[in-house]
Amino acid sequence: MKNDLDALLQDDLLRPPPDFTKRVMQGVQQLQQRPSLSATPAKPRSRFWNLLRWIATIAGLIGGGILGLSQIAGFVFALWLTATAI
Amino acid sequence: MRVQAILRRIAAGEQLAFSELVDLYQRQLFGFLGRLGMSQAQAEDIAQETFLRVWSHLHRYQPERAQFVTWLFTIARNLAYNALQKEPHRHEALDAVVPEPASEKPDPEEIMERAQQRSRLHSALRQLPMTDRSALALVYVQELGLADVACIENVSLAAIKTRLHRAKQRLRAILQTDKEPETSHEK
Repeated sequence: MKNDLDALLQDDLLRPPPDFTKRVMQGVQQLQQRPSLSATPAKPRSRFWNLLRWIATIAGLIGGGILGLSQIAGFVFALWLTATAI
Repeated sequence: MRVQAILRRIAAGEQLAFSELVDLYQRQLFGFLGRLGMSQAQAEDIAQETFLRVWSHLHRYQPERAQFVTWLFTIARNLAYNALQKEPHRHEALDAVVPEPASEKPDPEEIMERAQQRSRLHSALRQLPMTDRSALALVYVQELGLADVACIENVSLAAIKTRLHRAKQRLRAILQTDKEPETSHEK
């Protein structure tokens, strides 16, 4: 049974159709014809753009953090003001 | 080595070299998709989508991080996983798949027997949990070792071994229960 199962699993349950490569290459041609995609595989993003993206993310996080903290400080100050007024 | 040469030719702008890559891996890919319990039509769609993704994302492949075959099967596995999760209860018969090679001419009884075995295996595979089935399907890909399978599945080597053991045990049990009613019926 053990060997039978291995043999069954090794045997391909499905096989590619004879024109499969042709179909894929037609798909590749179609990809190339699309204006949004380049003819050859696209080049990786430059390090400069990656760095810029990181800086923008960090600046966004810091800005958001400062804004959040100022909101909390305002809320605490308002609480203190109300408490002392009473 | 051959793959690296093909990849270099593709990078140099030789588009036709990509067809060699497709020729090289299509059979293994269909074998894998078959073991995942996919129908012929589903497998054709997923295999084509896999190669198109490979083409359009080839610039992202980093040879120093993984073998090409590992990268290819990671893409295929993820696409297949998504497709199978979308339609988990779809059971299709494994009809008219895998024609026998023209050179081999077994007798009709043998052909019938093999077709039945494959059909039983196909439906048994579909009863396995997706994670176990995926590990089992990958481990029979010639060029992939257990470490590669673990990398594709994004789990440890020990986890893969456990999944394989469990998957084979369950598969044997399912096949055995499928066989029993037949044999009792024959008596």
